[in-house]
Amino acid sequence: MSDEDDQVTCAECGFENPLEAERCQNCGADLPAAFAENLLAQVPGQEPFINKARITPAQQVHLRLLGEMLAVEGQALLLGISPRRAGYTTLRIGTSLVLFLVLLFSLLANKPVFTHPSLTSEALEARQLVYALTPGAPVLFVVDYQPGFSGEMTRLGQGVLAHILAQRAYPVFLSTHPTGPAQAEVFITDLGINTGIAYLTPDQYLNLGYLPGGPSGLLSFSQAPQQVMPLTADGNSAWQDPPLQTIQSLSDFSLVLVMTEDPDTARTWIEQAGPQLQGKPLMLLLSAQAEPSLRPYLESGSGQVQGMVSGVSGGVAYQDSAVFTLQSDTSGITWSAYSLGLWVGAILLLLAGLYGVFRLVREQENELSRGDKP
Amino acid sequence: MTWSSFSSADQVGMVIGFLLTLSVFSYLLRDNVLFRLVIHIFIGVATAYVAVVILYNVVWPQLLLPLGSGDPGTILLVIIPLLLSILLLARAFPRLSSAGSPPLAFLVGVGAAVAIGGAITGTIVPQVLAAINAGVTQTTFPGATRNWMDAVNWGVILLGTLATLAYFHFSARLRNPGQTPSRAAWIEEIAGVGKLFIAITLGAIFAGVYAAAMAALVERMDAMVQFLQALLAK
Repeated sequence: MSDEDDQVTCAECGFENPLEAERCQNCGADLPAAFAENLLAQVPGQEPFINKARITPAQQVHLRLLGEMLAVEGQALLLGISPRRAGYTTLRIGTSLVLFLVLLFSLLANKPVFTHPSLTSEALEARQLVYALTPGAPVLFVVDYQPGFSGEMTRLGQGVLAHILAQRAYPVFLSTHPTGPAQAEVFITDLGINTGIAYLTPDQYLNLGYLPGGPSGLLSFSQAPQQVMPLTADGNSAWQDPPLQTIQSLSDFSLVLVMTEDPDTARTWIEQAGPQLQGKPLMLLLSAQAEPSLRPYLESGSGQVQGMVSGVSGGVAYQDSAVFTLQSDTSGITWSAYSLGLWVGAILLLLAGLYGVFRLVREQENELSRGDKP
Repeated sequence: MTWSSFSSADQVGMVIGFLLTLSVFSYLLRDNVLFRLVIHIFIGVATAYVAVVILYNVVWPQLLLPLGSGDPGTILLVIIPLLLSILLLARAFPRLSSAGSPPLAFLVGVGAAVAIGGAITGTIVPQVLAAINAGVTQTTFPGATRNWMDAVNWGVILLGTLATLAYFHFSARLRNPGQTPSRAAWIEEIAGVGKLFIAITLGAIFAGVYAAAMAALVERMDAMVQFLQALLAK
């Protein structure tokens, strides 16, 4: 818009047009009011209402850019079909086949090739926390992992849960995932099969079920567990019997244990539940994929996380170090096959990386040799 | 274990698990109808299960039971979320969708406030304080910690933090007309170091993801081997 109230400047050619003009009288381009009207007409459900808008030249340019973006947004982009890479399918199938055969061989051979790992310092601290539990001590056991990770998480958590039950503490299961309550039941049933003990609810454990609401729900539960989760997963009253009668807040639990594969879920527990714990320990049972993101909470010395067991290796080491026995390889994965799989994967990655470097060097040499030719 | 030692339910579960796992593995050859069938089954079953859990674990005990309690105070407390829920359902109908805005705004507002508050008090402040404390211990009180490895560790953390922050510093200045705007040379140098730290971090996360995926693969293969062994055992 020009300084004069009765003229409008064309953003394309700078010609001064009368205010009522919809198009530039010099170059024919849309003037701001008409342009904004056209733009709005492209938005479904919007009635054009701008008329004779006072828009600066800079705003006119922004409007034009926005218009171009909107116009492109509605267009289907034609994706260039990349040429089929020769041998790509063969390479994919071949790699998978190598991995499958190695794992199959290891599982069928069923001979220990790799020695079990030893306990890490953080897993040692976790074990000390469980050893400190007294009979009847309530332990909040959060089962917050996706079903797809049950292979790793079962192997990781069974030793810890068996240890908690061996201490005669009282695990209370909770989940912020809808599938969590069922997984908790499967988890403890599998443990019962492995230990030869049938664990019964509500005598030896309790399943509170699904906690909705994300971070807000978690914060509410931390402050008033009895009000937020009045019933168990199977619809019974949750807090009437000992040892849960005295629980008024999260800090009344002797230990809070979060088992997850998702760093964000663990972070939410640390952030929302941590301040309510008032010195009571928070322990993490983590998938190997979540561990690097959450290690700072343990190692910073802030006391937010006081024990951590991670990955299959952590679970195996914890199981080996405990005083109880599990028939460990009757269900779940075997340590040797897992280790072998990791080694094979690492070797394949290394070979692929070396091949990539070799190919890059060769291409550069070819380019150089082409450049030398006249 | 032999096949007959399993219960009928276990046998059905094992057969279904075996077939579904094979169907998922068939994706290695190419995208096919079996793989898509499994994906559809998974999404359908998961959605139905979640619906049942929410009805049984949330709607029934936390909404319907209190409504039927007969206690006016409890009923009053439940009526507010009930009304908000009904308004939220209006989002499904275009003509009434504006009625769903207040509960949606409430949900987003409360959720964001709780999440941001938690992130500040639960992550940013404790982590910054811990980093500062580690540095103060190393520099101000040299007698307190004589472990040189801790000092090196703290130095690496400090360098990594600063360099990574520099990498995400995207302000650029147009230094010469006609040229592309660019960052200051010293920021570019530090950002290069930050890139290295980011690459190492992503590498560590990738290794973890690979380990978790390997655990899932071995567990599935173990289940298949056990199934076949049970089937073939006399």
